[in-house]
Order: sequence, then C-alpha cells, then structure tokens
Amino acid sequence: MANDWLIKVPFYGKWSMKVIGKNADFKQRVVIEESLSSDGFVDGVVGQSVPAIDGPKWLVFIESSGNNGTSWNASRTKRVPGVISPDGLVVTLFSDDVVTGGSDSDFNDLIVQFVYLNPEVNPPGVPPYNFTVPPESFRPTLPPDKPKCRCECTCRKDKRPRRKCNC
Amino acid sequence: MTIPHAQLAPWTRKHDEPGVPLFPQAPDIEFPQSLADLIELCKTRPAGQRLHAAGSHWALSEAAVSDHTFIETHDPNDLFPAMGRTLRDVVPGCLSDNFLNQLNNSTSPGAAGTFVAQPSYFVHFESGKRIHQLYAELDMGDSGVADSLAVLMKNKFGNSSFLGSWGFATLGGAGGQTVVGALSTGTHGGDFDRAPIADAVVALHIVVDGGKHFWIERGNPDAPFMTDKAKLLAHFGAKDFEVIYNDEVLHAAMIQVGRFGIVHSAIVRVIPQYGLQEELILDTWENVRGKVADPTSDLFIKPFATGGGNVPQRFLQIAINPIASTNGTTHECGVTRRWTLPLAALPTALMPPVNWSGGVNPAGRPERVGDLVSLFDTMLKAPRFSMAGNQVGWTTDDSGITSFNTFDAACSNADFIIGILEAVFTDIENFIDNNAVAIGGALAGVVASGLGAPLLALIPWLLLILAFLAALIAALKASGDKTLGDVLNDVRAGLLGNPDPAARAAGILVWRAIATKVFESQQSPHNFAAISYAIMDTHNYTDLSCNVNVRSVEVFFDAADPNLVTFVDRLLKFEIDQEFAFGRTVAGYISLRFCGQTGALIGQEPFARTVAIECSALADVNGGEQFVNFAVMLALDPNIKGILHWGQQNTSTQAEVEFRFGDSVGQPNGPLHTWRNVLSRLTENGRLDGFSSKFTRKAGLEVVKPLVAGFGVTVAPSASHHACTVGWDCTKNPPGTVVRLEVHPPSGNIPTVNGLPLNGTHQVVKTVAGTYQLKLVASLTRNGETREDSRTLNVNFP
Repeated sequence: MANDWLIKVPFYGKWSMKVIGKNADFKQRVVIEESLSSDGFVDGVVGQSVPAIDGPKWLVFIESSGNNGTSWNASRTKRVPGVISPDGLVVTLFSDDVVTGGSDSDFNDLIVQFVYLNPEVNPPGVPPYNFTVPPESFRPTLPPDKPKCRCECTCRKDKRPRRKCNC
Repeated sequence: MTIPHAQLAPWTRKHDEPGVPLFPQAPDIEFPQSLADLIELCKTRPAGQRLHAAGSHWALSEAAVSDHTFIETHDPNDLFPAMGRTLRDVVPGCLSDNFLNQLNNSTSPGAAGTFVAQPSYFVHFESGKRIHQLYAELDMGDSGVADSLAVLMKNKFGNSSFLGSWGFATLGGAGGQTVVGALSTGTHGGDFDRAPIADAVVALHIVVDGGKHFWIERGNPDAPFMTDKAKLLAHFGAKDFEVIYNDEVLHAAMIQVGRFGIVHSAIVRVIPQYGLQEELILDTWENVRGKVADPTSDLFIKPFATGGGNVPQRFLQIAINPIASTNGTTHECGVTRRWTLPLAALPTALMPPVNWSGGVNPAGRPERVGDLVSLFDTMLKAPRFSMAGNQVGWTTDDSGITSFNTFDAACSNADFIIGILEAVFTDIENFIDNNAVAIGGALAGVVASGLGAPLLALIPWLLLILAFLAALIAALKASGDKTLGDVLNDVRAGLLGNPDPAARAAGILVWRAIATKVFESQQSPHNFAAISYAIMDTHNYTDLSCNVNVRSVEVFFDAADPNLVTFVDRLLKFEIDQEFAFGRTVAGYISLRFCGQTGALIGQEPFARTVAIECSALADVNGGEQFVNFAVMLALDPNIKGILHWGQQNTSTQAEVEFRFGDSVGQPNGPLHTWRNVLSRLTENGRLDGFSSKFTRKAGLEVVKPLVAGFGVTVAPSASHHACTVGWDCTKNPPGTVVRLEVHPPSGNIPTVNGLPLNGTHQVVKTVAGTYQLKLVASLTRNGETREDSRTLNVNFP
C-alpha cells in the first residue's frame, strides 16, 4: 500500500455509526455520501450516532474546520477493522486534521466507529461462560503415587511362570 | 482410435463424503493416453457434451466438475495408465540454439556458482504426472538418460553442471496432486521469498475445444525463446497448431481453471536439489497477529546459523487452533519456519541409501523416494520408485506428524485420541476431587485465573461428563476402528449436546481441553532438516483406503491488509459463538501461509506478499461445515474482500470475481480483462465453449464481450435501387450472443431490428433521402451483466 490512510472510505451494506472520540480543537464532522437514505453531515461530537446507514456502496469522509464551520477541509483517515464482543465486525476510522502547514499525523482528531449490521456476518451471540478459577487453584502436577506393591512375572528355565514382587 | 473410457461410472473427489460419490453415474469418463487422444476428444466432442480435465481429484472446488465428460489424466483408481511421461521431444529436441548457448553460459564461472545464483534446469512432462513422481525423478537426475537435456549439455558443450540432482523451488504441502492440476488452480506453499508453483512454468502445451493445440511460451524480449519455432512446427505439424511466444498469454494460461482447454504438457524450471531446515514452536495467535503485516518482524527474519553463516528465513506458516484457550482469550498456534540448506549440510538418513544415488544419503531421500524399482512403469509411464507417494510424512522420529493437516488427521486411527481422552479424564477427576487445576495439564490451558470460582459451579455437570468419557473410552477401546472424525463427533455430541447452559458450559470446557491436546499433539515443537521434498511434502500417503469428508476454503489477502487479522479474529469469535449458542464446534484448523507475488493473471497471490488463510474442518463433526461456510461468506463480503482459492470451496459469482480481478462492466480493464482476451484468442471469442462449465459460467471465467465482425454493405443503394443490403458475420462469439440492427435515417424513425442471426444479411429500405446511420450491435448477457459491441456504417440514399 502506498499510504495507509484514505480520504474517502468505502463501506458496503448496512452499518451503524457512532462518534466515540475527539481530540481536536477544530470543529469536526462526518460526511456520508452515496448511501440509500443517510447522505449528509453528522456533527463530530462524541456520542453522535446514526442507527443505520445502508447502500450497496457508500462513502464516508471526515472534515475539520478551523474557522468554526465557515469552510471545511477533508481529513486523512485510517481505516482499522476489528472484532469486538458482542458486536462482531466493526470498522473504526481515525482521522487526522489537515490544516495549513500540514498535519501532525496523530490520527486521533475524530474517532468514529461503525458496526456491521449484516446478520450473516454479525449474528447475535450468546455470552460465553466465565472459565476462571482463583489463582491459588493452579497447582503443580503431583507425582504419581508410589505403588504399594509392584509385581512382575519372569520365566523359569522350565518356562513355568514365576511371580516376583517388590513391595 | 479407441480411447479407454467409462460410462455411467461414479466420479468423486478425494475429500468428498465417503460412500457418496459426487456423481453416482458420470455420463462419460475418458482416459486419454497421448496428445493424439486429447486432440481426438476435443475435435469430435458432440455438441452439448462439454469436457473438463481431471487430475488427481484433490480439488475441493466445483471447478473440478465437468458439465458432461471428465478427461482423466491420471486415473485415481489406477485402472488405466496415466499420462505421466517425462518428454524429451521438446526438451531438448526443439530447444533453440540461442537458448542452449545461454543455458551453457549460465553455469560458467562468474555467471553463477554461488548458492543463490543457481543454474536452472528444465523438465517437460505430461499433465498426468504427480508431484511426488516428478520430485523423485528430478532428484535422481537425468545423467542416465541418453536423450535428456543434461546429457545433451555434456555432449554438446562439455558442461556437466546439469547431470546432478534437481528439485522444485517451492511446493504446496502435499505431493499427491498432478503438477499441472496444482499449478492450474494456484496452489502454493509458505515460501514468502518466492512466487508460487505456477510461476515456475515456462511453457504450456494446451489442446482447446475443436482440437487445435497451442504451444504457449514466455516471450521475454531480453532472453532468447526457449524453443525453436521451426522445430516445433516440424515436430507437431503446422495443421491446427500454433506457437505463441507471449508473457501475457502464458500468464493467463498458468492459472486457467480448466477453461482454456486441457493441458497436454508443461515445462517447468527447477533448481539444484537442496535441503530445508524446519522449526516449529508453539505460540498464541493473539501474540503473533500484530506482527503478520510487518515484513521486518521476527516472524519473517529469524536467521538460521550454519557453518557458512546465517541463512535467511524463506518460509512461514502459522497454524491456529480455532478452539479457544485461557477462558476464550487466546488461541494456540504453531509457528513453522524454514531455511534453505545445501544438500551437503543435511544429516544422513537413518535408512540405507537408495540404489541410484551412489551412496549419497541425505535425510528424507530413502524415506520419501526410495529405490528405483523400474525405469519405465507401464501404469505411470515413468520410472517407479519404491517410496514415492506411499509413505507417511517424514520426521526424525518416524511419527509422520510434521504439520497439522485435517486431511491426514481425518485418516488417523482413533487410537491416539484415546490417550488424550484419558489424560483429560484424569485432569477433570483431579479438579473435582481437589478443586485444583494441574499446571501443565489439559484443563490448565483452557481456564484462566480470576476472581470468584464460577468453574466450581460446573462440578455436578463435570461428574456426568466423567461418566460419559469413561463409557466412550471403553467403547473406543472395544471397537477401535473409527476415524478421528467419527470419534470427535461422538465427543462433541456428548459434551455439547445438552442445551442447558451450565451443562453446555461444562461440555465446552472439556471439549476445549481435548481440542488443545489434539492440537498440541499435531503441532509438537521440532527442529530438523531433510531434503527439500521431504520437508515440503508432509502428506501421509499410507492410508490408501481412507475416505475422508473434509470442507476447506483458502482465502488470500495482501499481507499488509488489516482485514486479514480481522478475518481470522471474526472466525475465532464465530467458533466461540457456535459452541455456546448451538452446541456446535469445529474440528480443524486455520493456517496462514505466506508467499510471493505470482505473475498469473487470475492467481490468488497478486500482492508483493500474500497471505493464504486456509480454514479446514472435518465435516463429520457438526459445526465444521458451518465454520467453513462462514469463512467463505465472510471472505466474499466486499468489506473484507478476500480472494478464494480456485481449487477449494469457492462459490464466487461473476460480480465477486470482477470485484477482485477487474473487468467489471463499468471498468473493463485489469488482469481478468487480459485473461478473458486470451480466452477469446484461443476459443474464437468464446464460440468454442467445450471447456466451459457451470463453475466457470457462474464465476465469469468466460468471454463476456461479444465482437461484431464482417459488417458491411453488400448491395448499395442507388438512384434506381431504393434499398441497401448489409451483411455481417458474428459467429465467433459465445453462445447466447444476440444481434440487432439500429437504423437511423436523417429524419423520422425506423424500428430497431432485433433477433437477427449471428451470420446474415438485412435489407434497409429508404424512407427519405440522405445519409443513414446503420449500427449493428452484438449483445451478450451473463449473470445479469450485459456487454455490447457495435460497428456503424454511414450509407447515403440518393
């Protein structure tokens, strides 16, 4: 890959969206394009969400404004897929403001998480059982008990068995 | 000419369900013996009876399936002789003088001579030859074959460099497939520093529908052509034979999934025989996954020290246990690395030297190839070796366990699992008695330390499980003839079948302990060296009667793509979910192997470093099939965008293939576009569709763009003749192509003439004077995608 960042990030199918982090002084917003019915802007404020965005292929990009919304610049964005419980497949976008004079490449100015709502890929799960024991329950393997009496058979010269025991 | 054949006989693949042939009565199975037979089959094919080549039947894909006639190049039942000859007619018979000179110069001092810059050798063989057969022949070398290239180089140039032992530069994990079958479907190993097997091909001889045959060879302008075209034409005849020197065509033909036609023979480049050092260590997926995208991580750059210095690592495999450990937070994995060693650095084999090596006895040679039994076996049409393709995988301890392989594991006798069940039984018993988890025991790996003691709540259920295990162990000891798949499904049903959450949790705990022990038994740490093929071909050939029932898919990603780790993580979560929600589980593995970039146009390894993730499961265990199906669905999801192996479970549609390889309606370019152009060239733009199949049509491995040809005015209008006649010939197009004529007069409308024949004429009658625009359109719709070609004529009506 030439770059590990994008401007416009493609999504396919139905996803939910939520802004989960902001570490920027500038105003931020999320832009959705080419979706079936969710195109538009979402304020880059933690907690802002869209319950479902759908479409065969739609695009997301993040913008920042250094003049309180008068004009907007597209941010550089890293797409980081992952798996979380209980949601399953998620994609998190980490944006980096591009401002006059360059960017700081911190990729944390706005953090937006998308959860895939495709029930085939992310079917509802069941909470797993907690297989834990207190730390003191882990003990070294005990040596096997010494047998009280160990017997073995040998053969006499006349081929009749002879029983020999070590107790 | 009578070609051996069978009608209404069963046809199945190696890994299909035992006793249930994929086709109980295949319409026709042909067993050709020669190039002439192949030409005959392709030339005399009745309309509607399509053909498809079959090699070893190892493919799990629908790609192996013919619409009608199967052409067997190596009868899996060994009733008919194989097309397994090593050929000398082209190599060296038709090699060009320039090439021979270059080959001679490549071994002169200064040009080569180091271990890295090796001389190459070239071997030409029929398409029914199996991998283990060819590596055995290569190892023996050609010094004793009077008409071989090696002897020619000795006699012509006095160059003895080619008289030695040769080997494949890389291989997959098994040698039972035919070489051509393996390369045609993109088979690969884990050698990340080199391209896959297909890229060793320098020439292919393919017979296409209709009987025409093509010699397709690399066309690198910087190097002489390997063969002399005049010699090829003199040898094969000019009739219905064409020689193509073109890299693009060769790169299309390397991986063609049987769609171009049937491969008669191939030439591959091989390298001087060598050894491999292999190391396997245990780790966890959660510990290594952060490093797979980084080519500088210690996963890839661990050196191996020899007397001659450090050898760079060449191979990496990460085999993951899909069953969780440590309270579901980790997954054990075996990390296997390999390094190239000189043959002389290998340990000596424990068995006596083979009868053809002059006493040279590297580890693995007598065990995996063995003695020369006969110089020409009438069934193989090649030399027969005593141990080639009929032994367990090579190991220093004769255990035969060199890597985890579900196919092999499925054939295992159930004996070894009895020991594992007994160990787990003892561990549970100990836990119930003392509430203690024995460090190093079966349970210790699957639980974690934490507050509270929820595990103790499961003790009543664990007591019941003990009784179940005791009965199962007794039953297994009494019967002893079950396969691993059967046994594991019995274990699964007994442990996970109870829908009560606590009962199921207890069962999952025990299942995980068993699965961990099974995995560790298959991925035991080791470090050893042997001859190349003994390390690369780990397959156990001993159980010839073994019928297995395996599901497997392999998904390819750019190794730098974060989707690959997500893909694995999502699969692992699927397994945890199916255990708790449905009482299902997988008996199998997830294996990551890394390989270099292929030149094959539709090869699955298009990235500088590709990772191939194989997800394999025993279908007898409820949950295995679901696991593999989930992997297929996830890989095909456009947000993940994995590439599926052509030779394994592959349900890709045309749109999904185009999404990965290009040539969609909107963007008619990319490697698939070039591949389709080559298919067009070899098949009269798809008119010859005898090697089309249900699989290729669904996946879009077809000509999709029709072509208009021969469109012209046959009778022009004049002052006295108020009509014109146009003609066309669009016969060289795929079935399903439709033709229409659009007539645009200077004013007014003339209805479009639809449903015209592919070859015909049509009269256009003047309505008004002036220039008419006549547009002939050929249109083809495949899988809902329509593509058109058109030609336009302007005709003046006085």
